[in-house]
Parts: sequence; structure tokens; C-alpha cells
Amino acid sequence: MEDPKSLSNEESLRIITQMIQTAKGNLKGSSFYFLLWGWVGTLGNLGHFLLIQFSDIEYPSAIWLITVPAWIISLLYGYRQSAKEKVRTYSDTLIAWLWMGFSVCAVILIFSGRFNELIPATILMIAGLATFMTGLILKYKPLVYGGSSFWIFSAMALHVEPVYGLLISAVAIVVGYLIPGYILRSTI
Amino acid sequence: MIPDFKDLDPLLHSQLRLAIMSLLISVQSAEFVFIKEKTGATAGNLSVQIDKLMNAEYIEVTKSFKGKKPVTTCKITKKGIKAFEDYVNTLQGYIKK
Repeated sequence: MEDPKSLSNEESLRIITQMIQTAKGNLKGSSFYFLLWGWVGTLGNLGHFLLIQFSDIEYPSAIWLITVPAWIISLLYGYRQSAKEKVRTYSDTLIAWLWMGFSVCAVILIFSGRFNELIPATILMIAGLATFMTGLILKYKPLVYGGSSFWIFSAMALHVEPVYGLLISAVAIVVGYLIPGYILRSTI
Repeated sequence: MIPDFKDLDPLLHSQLRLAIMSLLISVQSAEFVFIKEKTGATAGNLSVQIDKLMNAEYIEVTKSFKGKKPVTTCKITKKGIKAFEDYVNTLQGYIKK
């Protein structure tokens, strides 16, 4: 069956614009990751701080083992989402690889054994870059601002005693992940 | 043929095929059901138009399974992108005149 209608130039343009608008990147799903990692990051930093200050536990950084289940949840969620999605946009792929790159940087930093107390501030700096870029790709301002705020907090964290850097990181994650994450969720 | 006069690609100059191509140019790949939902076309008509675009090598069509459910995925090809760009350029030429 051929569609019989002959198209005018204006109609052609209207179809093109309308369809391109329709296919624009979706924000759905991203809020899940920001909320999950927002809470993991906030609790991890706060917990790490509290363990250093108020306990004599030998390895206070063990609190970061909470990232292991968070990773598993993220991977499972990502897998389930990709099975459900009916369309794959360039921005989805770009964001997925950006965070994959961030994870590689984070793993190198953590397991190099050379950064130690500088780890939270440094991770904050590269997480800022990834968040900032994600915000730009999705054209979602709260994430752009959140990501930029990470750089300010990171610079602050590098200027205080490392243990207080953890507190600054916790605040940064509330500002950069949790607030945009909740705004995102409430607008969908 | 009149010199300097470019015809609009007849394969793209159709409501549904143009809609399919405009959707596919903006995404990496899309499933049949997504295209059907966005264009509002019937499954029968959509399959026919997708076949035409596929035969012209403007799009690639892959059939796979998601669990037990068969899934048809469409993706624009380089040739399709070129054809779409030419179509838009020709259209712009007409409008400027």
C-alpha cells in the first residue's frame, strides 16, 4: 500500500521536525542511578567520617564495601532497562560510556594505593566532569550545576584536613546527585 | 530535465517513509513497535514502507529475540543518511526560491 497523499514542502518539513522532536533523548531511568549512587556516596562519606572520628575500627574505609551491592544493582537495573527499551539513542550510549570511563578512572585511583586520603576529593573532581557532561548531553540544567558544584567542593576538600574532606564530599553528593535526582524524578 | 532542478527523492517524498527516516536519523536504532507508536501507522502499512526503505538500502533491519518475543530493529544506513540529507537540502532549495 502506497500512501496516496502528495506532500507539500511545508508538510515534509513539519513531518521531519515533528519526528526529530519525538525521538529526542529521554531522561527516564537516569534518576535511578543518581538517587542510588547519591545515597551510596552520601552514606559512604558520612560513615567513613564517623568511623574515623568516633570509632577505633582498624579500616574505616571498609564502609566503601557498600559500593559492591550498588554496582550489582546498577548492572542488573541497566540490563533490565536495555531489555525493555524500544529505542536506543546516541545520547544513551554516550552517557553509558562516559560513566564506564569514570568507573575505570575511579578503580585506577582507588587501587593504585598512592592517593589514599586524596581519593574522595579526586573522585569528586572526575565525577563532577561526568555529571557535568551528562547534564549537557541531556540538556538538563540541574545536573550541569550539580556537576560544576563538584569542582568547587573538590577544591575545598583539597584544602582542608582529609577527614573533613569526607564531610565536604557528602555535602557535594547531596547537591550534585540527590537534589537533581529528586527533581528529575518528580518531573517525569 | 531542467538543469539546476533537483527532484525530491520519490522514495522519501511520502508521508510515512519520510516520518520513518526522520525518526531513524535522530536515534541509533529503534524497534518496529516504537516506530509504529510514534508514526501512528498501521503495522501492515509500516512493514511495506520499511521493506521499501530496506530494499533501497536506506535502512538496515535486524530480527532478533528478547526472551521469547521476536523483535524487529531498524537502523539508518550511511546511504540512508546521505539520501535524507540530500532530500532536506533539495527541500531547502525549493523553499528559498
